[in-house]
Amino acid sequence: MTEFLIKNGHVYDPANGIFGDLMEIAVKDGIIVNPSELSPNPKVIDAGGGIVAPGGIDIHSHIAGPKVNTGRLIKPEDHIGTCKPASNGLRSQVGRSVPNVFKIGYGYAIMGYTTVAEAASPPLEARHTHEEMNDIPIIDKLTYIIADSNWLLLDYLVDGRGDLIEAYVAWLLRATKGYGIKIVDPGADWAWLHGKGMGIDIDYELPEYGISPKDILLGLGEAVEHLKLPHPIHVHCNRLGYPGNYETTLKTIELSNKYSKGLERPAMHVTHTQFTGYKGDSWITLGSGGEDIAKEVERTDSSVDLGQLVFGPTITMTADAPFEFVLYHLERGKWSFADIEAETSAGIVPYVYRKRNYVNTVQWCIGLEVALLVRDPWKVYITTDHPNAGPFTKYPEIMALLMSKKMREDFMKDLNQVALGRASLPSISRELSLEEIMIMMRASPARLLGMKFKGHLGEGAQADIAIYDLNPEKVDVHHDYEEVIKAFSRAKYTLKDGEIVVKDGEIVRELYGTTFYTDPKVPEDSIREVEKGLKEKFPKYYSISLSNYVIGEDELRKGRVVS
Amino acid sequence: MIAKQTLSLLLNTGRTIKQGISMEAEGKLSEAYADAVARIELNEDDMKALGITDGSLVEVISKEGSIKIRAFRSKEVKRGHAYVPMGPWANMIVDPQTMSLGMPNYKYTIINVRPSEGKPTSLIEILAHYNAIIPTEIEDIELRGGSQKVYEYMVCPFCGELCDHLKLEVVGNEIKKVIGGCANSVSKLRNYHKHRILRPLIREGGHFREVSLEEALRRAARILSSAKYPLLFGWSSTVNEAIRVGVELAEILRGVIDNTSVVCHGPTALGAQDVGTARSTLGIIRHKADYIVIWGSNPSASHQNHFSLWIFSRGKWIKGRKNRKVVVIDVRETPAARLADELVRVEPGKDYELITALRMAVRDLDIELPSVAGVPTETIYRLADEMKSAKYGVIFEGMGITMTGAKHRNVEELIKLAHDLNEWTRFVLIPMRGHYNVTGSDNVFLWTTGYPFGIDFSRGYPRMVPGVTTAPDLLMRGEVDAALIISSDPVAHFPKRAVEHLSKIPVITIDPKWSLTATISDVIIPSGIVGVECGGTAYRLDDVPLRIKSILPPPPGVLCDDEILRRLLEMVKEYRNEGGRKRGEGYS
Amino acid sequence: MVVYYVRPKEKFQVPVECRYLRPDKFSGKSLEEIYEFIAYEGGVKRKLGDLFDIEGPSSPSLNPEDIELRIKDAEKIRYLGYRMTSGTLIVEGDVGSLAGYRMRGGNLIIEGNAGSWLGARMRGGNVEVKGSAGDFIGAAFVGDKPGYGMRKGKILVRGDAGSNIGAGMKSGAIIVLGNASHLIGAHMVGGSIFIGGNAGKFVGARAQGGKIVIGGKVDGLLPSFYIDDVVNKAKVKEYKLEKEFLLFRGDSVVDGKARLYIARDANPEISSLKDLLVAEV
Repeated sequence: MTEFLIKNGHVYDPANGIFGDLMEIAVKDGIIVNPSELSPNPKVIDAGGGIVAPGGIDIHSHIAGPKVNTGRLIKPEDHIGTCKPASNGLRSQVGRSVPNVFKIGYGYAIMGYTTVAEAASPPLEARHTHEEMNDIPIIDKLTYIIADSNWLLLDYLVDGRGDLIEAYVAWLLRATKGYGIKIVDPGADWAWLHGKGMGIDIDYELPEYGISPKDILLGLGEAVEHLKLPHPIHVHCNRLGYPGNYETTLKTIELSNKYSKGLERPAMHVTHTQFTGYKGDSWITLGSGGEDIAKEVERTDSSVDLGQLVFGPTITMTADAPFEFVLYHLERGKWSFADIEAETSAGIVPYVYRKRNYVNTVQWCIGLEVALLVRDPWKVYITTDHPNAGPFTKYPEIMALLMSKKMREDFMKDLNQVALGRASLPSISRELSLEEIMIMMRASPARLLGMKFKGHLGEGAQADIAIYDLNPEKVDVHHDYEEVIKAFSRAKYTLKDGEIVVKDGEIVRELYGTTFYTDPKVPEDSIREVEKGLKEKFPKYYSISLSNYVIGEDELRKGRVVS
Repeated sequence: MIAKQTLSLLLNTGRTIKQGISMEAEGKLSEAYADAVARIELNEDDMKALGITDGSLVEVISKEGSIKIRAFRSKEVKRGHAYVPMGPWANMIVDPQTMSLGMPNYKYTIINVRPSEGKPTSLIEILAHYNAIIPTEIEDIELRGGSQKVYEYMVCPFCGELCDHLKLEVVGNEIKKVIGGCANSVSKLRNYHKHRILRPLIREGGHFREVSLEEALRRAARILSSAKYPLLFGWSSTVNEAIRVGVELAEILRGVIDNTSVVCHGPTALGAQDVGTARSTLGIIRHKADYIVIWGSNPSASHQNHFSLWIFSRGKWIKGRKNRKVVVIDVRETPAARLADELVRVEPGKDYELITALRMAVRDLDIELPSVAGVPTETIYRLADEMKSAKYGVIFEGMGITMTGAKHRNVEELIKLAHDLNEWTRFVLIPMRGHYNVTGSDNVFLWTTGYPFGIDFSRGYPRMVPGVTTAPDLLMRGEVDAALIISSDPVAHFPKRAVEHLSKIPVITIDPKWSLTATISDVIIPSGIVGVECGGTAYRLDDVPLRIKSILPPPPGVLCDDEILRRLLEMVKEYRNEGGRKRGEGYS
Repeated sequence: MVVYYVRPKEKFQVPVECRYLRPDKFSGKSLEEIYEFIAYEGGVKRKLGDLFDIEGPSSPSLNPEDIELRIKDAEKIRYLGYRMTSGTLIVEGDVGSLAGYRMRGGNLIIEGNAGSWLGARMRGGNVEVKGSAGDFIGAAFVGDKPGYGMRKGKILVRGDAGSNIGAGMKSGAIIVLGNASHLIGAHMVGGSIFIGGNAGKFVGARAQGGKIVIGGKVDGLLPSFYIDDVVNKAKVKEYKLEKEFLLFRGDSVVDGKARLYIARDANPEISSLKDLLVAEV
């Protein structure tokens, strides 16, 4: 197999305490090894003084599944003018905010990303998510499974049997080949089935069940901690999109301390916090709750990702169906929704973020504020909740904004000045360092996902490596932001499992990555009790048979368990 | 004196139960199939005016041509209308005009009918028109005995319902019993072994010659690689694993890939492109839907388990049929209408007006006319009120919506009606998708190309323009120079003009059975039957993905679709790498 | 004026596409250079010189407005006149789909019949078809927001036309002297459409603005259009009909303010239904 020796690179390996040292990295048989293990005269990759880092890891992106495909269907205008013909063994690429599978895989790899998490799969249609993921080239994938409005789970929560909740969660993850548990506006989709659910708060009493979103959060949080799943509950807070919702976010984050078991990773991850960080009581008085959220994150066993806004046309897609109903009314354009029996719902609405728009400018500020105000870079992640707040192709821009106050100032010139007048962002002078960015985009995500073999360049790590044409000794990242964006938009090299897949920003080799899932262990008798319950209830709740619900390992192109 | 004259009528074509069953059981070359589809159903009074009785021969003439078939009276057909089951006879006269949407006017052709003498038009005559070769011997797979095996929770490979509760009793390689399946399902599965293509064939002179799979694939690869603009069509009756290879093949060939949506629910996809969707999975309907509208669809013929599974059944909140109101909106009293609480008769081709009026009623706008599209205004207001006060409503829409009048704009407006109703309650629209994996096919096309059907790769990347890159239009304008037809039968189901062009270009057919398209093909490659011999992923009409299992091996030498396509793709790649035959030079 | 004669070397079996077959692209180019332009024959990348014989001036003309291209046997040519800005393009016979797509200026004259999507997403210029044309004239593409159709310019069809004419148009004028089919002006936001003959069903479906004049018979009207007035003439540009028209406004399901002029003489049923209301008006 192939062997490489990467030379002349400034290595950033935060997990192993390396921040820009000039050192060699050796790759053999898809793994990072000690250079002494290579045969004499290995192939050399000259990093030319550039940055050598572990491949990027995106912990929250909508890249595969029924929502994404519906997005493609209802936004054909997204495909025109954004195409690249098939050539040299590569497939054709289409789309900007909802690209086709090939553009997604190539697009991430070109930026030096090698692992992406599909943020939300409805269990009944998880097979669809896996089919699309099977067709996404290069990157490794995993998916979180939506659980909060799941009828079987709600039944167990009401019964209060923690052991059965755990056993069912374990069963569900195994059946759907999922990686973690996703909670989306907990309980809202259940209420939406009855035409309610808009803007519910965590103490809301769910119809018929009587329990609250808070109960769902605690019940699932506990279960996931007990099961020691590699990834914590991944939470899209209640009241997303509503002015004043930052309070709900604070109440949600606070819960993490209640059930935390002090594992190596946080007990709760709150996602796209920009969308749930609004102060004010109306759109006109919208303000940023970024500071308060930053403080709460630091105080608790939690983490957040930004959901950073990017101006321009895009499409929103989420399992928060009631919110999308509200957004449809604001936009009065296209709208798609889907109710998935016994489990969840979804909503999709194309949207345009405008620079001169007051609300959009406030939203843009919030994401950046959270990133700059949370002092610990191990607790914050850069995402755009692709495509909800913007396309993933804009990550380099966001990195640059966080590292350069100058860029922020230049950028803010075109935005809504009234909004800026009320925001804290203009007065924040902190600039993240390259080290902090590397933590946020590589080492820390691996930890959040519980993947010890990713996100670092130590011996034994998966050889997913990105090399960027940016010499940190020669370029001032806080000032020359255009260089930063250019370098991180097109990797000099991307290696996937030890193979060169990208060279000078072009795909040079197509291969297919691994789909990761988890298979937690539970006591035998709990499993038996859950299986008995399923035999009785599943046919009542679902319109397909239980045996057809379960996804086999053979259905994944390349599956691997992580525990 | 018996009055004899020519009557001008409006022709509707579509499925019938007999058409579906005979197609699967006896095959399209059989007497039973001809009996089922070579017929015209007329209103009793119209028959009297023509001076004919049941079984009389009539000549049916349209702008496209004429056929002679037997006439039978039907209570379901109104005066001034006629019904011919879908098939090659209907397609000799059907109006091919697609309104640039890819969808011919299957349900709306102006015809003249007059009594005739002589013999009915035979299938042989029709096929001769297309220069077909009818096989002299059609084989079945030899059934042999063996141990009995029972397979449970099997997924049926017939229609979009994708019932997954089937229990199959198999003895040796014979499927003895299909428990839980509808008549179409039983017909397909129990007759899986009949009229099969068992060996690859190449057309030479006036007959088919048996060849090795290798030779057939090579010939097919050569035909496709030398074509400048090949069409890859079908895809709805095979699994996703095969479809994704098809997309790669079309891309490398720089041709067009299209599926049967184009003549089925393509307009539904086009409507969604314009306004969005409003959907739910079928389980929700069973649990919660207390108001069910069936518009332009006759599930009693096309989706026979539909009523029992979702409407008669008990759900979490709805205790059964009694707790639901079922309204059928259609141009005639279909068998489905007889199972409903109310039939709303709409004027043919005018559904769009009725949908608009319903939207107006939901929004409390004044309808200043006594009736719209043949429906009294008070009825419209009442229906709107009922919909608004429902707890959860669903509109099942079918070919009556997609094939007539405003076509895709009918669907748009229905989706908007559902959207409007969501201000008051919850309401969804579910398309009654026909083939068992047409939904999967649309989905695979979408995630690989961004479009649901009609995808052109001539510039190396996907483009789709309805009426320009859609199969029926391409064929009717004679714009493609080779075709690969897989798991579908355009010779039986496309209008004459399209089939005429298909018969002039080199055609490769991949099919388990003797379709009519096989009879005009230049290369025929047999494949295994999905659901019996081959398995893979398919999507139900509500987008729920299921895994179809296989229980028996395909006949010796016969592979499954995905394997055939993979080999074909490899050969095409080789052909192009080696330089092979220069494109445009044709093949010999 | 400088004329180029463009003739296919052989009859085309598959669609041909050449985005450079336009007067403004020929301007300043020698014939040798023109022969090198990229064209597609089906999915095969070719050069213009492989597919066509071109007769033209020995030295290139520098003023595109002076250039006239005459093309024959163009029934299978798609996207002819793609984004052209100036000059004259004359088709001696029929032309394929998408002629005049995103045209910005100049003249496109088709002496025979045109296919569908004529002048789709047009932004300026002048199109004339002496024969008939297909569907989606001057239209937006499926999925486009209403208003992304024709925005400027004029399309004249002397013969008949198809359905969905002016779908999603924003401005400009479309004139069909013969008969047309269903869904005239669907989703239109502005602009004017004139149909001299008959139109089919569902005229003005979901139109938000603009003007539609139907000189002949319509096959029913949407209930969402309300009668507003009776006028004694209607016109689009210089195409005028001096007779009584019923003026409707709609489409009310989208709070539309489009104006629909329906000829009174050709539509007695609609007139009689509206007589009561007309009396009020």
